[in-house]
Amino acid sequence: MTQIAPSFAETLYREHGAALLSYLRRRFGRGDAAEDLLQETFVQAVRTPARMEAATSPRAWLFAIARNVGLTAARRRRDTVPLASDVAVQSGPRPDPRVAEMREAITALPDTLREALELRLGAELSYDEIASVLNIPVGTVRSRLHQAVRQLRERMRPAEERRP
Amino acid sequence: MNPELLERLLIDRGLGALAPDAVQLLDAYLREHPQEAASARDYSNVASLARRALATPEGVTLPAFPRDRILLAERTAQRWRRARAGLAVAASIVVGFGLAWMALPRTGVAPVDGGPPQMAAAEMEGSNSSSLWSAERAFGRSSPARSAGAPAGFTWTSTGRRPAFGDRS
Repeated sequence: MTQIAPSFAETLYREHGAALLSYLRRRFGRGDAAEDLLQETFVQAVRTPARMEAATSPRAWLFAIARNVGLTAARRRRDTVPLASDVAVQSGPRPDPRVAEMREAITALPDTLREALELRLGAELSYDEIASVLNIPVGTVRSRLHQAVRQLRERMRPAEERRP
Repeated sequence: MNPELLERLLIDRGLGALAPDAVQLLDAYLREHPQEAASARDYSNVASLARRALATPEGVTLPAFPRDRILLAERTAQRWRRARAGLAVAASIVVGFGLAWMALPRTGVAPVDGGPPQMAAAEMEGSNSSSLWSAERAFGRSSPARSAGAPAGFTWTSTGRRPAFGDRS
């Protein structure tokens, strides 16, 4: 089993590892926890090499495993999912105040909407792939994403415009 | 265009989920309807900012590929598989022996002392049955004590020949 899988898994690790780590940090991780979850994701992935090689979208498949691994770990820790600081950590050397404001707005979104948005814009998964990761219909994914963008637009609108 | 449909298209375009030909059509529509263009720019900006906020940061240091951890997990899984296989074999052997033990004939367990048949015959003697296969007929003819009541002049003297009327032992 492991004679075949690791080479392919290593390729997947190089290709998608950074996006997965970023996703895990945003949703579950603090410090080394996200790295541990990333490694566990690949340990789980290698256990079913046939599925790994037959996956229509290995990226979506890995995100689904990462999500399950993260949720299981969070359940064990009885931890709450993301913190504003986890999202804010990713700012560049000169953070744009509008981007920082957007991060806060994203953090304030309901979890289901935020997760769909993270998978679309952070992990760059298609609607179909997001549906497969979250195990929900594509229509629900579209609806969640639209709601998320509408809410963000409302939050990002200048205060004077929001007044009736 | 229906405002709700237009909004959906604008959001999908902002999220990068609209097909290129649909984007071209939408752009053409917006050129002809400048009053909708502001809304389109708004959605575009929101999506763009959200994309920047959620983008995977460059220079992420990946931990090493967990080769050792995978091998360890595989070894553990193999051990479990072997243990399960061993347990299955052991269980099969135990069940096999159990079934064989139950199926074997019991020798020397029930002593043959002739008691039950005699008792049965004795019980049947007391009954009033006198049919062809009755115990009374079977035992009555072979026992000398019982043949005392047989009709005179009809005695079976030899097993070698058929008895004849008038024979005497």
